[in-house]
Amino acid sequence: MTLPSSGSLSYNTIRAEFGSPSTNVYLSLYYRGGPYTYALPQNNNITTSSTGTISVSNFYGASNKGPFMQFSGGTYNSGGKAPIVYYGAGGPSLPSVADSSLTIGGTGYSVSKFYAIGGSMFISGTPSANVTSAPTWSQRNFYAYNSSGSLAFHFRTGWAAGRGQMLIGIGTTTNQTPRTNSPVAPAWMYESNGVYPSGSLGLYTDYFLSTAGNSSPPSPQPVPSFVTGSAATLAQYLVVKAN
Amino acid sequence: MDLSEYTKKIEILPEKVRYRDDDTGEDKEGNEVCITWKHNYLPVSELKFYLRENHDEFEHKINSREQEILEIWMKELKYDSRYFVVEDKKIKEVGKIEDDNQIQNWLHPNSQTVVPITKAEEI
Repeated sequence: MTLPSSGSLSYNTIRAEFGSPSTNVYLSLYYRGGPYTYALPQNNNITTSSTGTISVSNFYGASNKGPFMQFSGGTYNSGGKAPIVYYGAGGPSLPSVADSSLTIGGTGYSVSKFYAIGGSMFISGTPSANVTSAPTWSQRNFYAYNSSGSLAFHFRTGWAAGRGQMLIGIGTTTNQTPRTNSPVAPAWMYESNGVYPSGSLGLYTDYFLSTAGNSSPPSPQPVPSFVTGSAATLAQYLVVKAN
Repeated sequence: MDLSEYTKKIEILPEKVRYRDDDTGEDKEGNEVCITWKHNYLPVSELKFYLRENHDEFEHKINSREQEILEIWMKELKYDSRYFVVEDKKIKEVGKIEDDNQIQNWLHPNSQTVVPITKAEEI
């Protein structure tokens, strides 16, 4: 949710949207890049310093932290003869995700893993509700902004995202879509390209299914890719939003 | 130490607040609520959080604030956050073995209670 872009904007309206532990409303609590406000394009009007001039008019159209995830990504090189280099958070020997809540296509997720290897992206988390239609993930855009609010990378999933199978335990899979029965799926796993021998686990990647297509032409369908940036750009402070 | 015996009070504030519904793009009005955490018997602060009712992230933000409050209370009770953490609303010592099962699992990771006995003839 965001604040209205016009009309009256009270202090309480700002507090109610961003949240506050304080009875008195301090606008300085909400400076951009601070504990309550991410450095995102829609918050560009808000000053970046708690000591700078901040006013109610800065907050028209501003957005709270809610729908976005945040982490300070790292790098991990597995070593050996065929090293795998991981970038991001939640993966092997990588930092954990700091703010795990991310809204993807109207569904809230608690994302625990968000990392890349080469051109492959891995996302894993727990949805707050069942994912009831494939297009929720299909050709979904993930934008990540660094600490100064600049775009670090833009990753787009392929056509098949959300149409493959979901790993719910080693050797056990269930369909990703649609899932309307209870309980809510305990975990969600997205893999853009196969790096591991995932076939033995019964998990089909977005790339595999997109190139294979299905009965709906055209085939192959759009495949997942980094539109801008690369795996290495995940190794920094990032705020991620899904459009 | 168990911190779970507290009262959480939700009060709707009289002044209406505005927000934009991202699904419809419409500007709407809603209620702001004040949530107050008060421990039933421990000498710790009464702490609050303000947020809009029916906020998309209501539950997540309240849970985050609740965890933050429990950690504030832990510090008010003079526990050092370098050695203690709050887990499941309890103050726990970092790395402390509290359960004999933890020791047994470490000593016998494949004990008979974990891995069932298989008869030799069946292999």
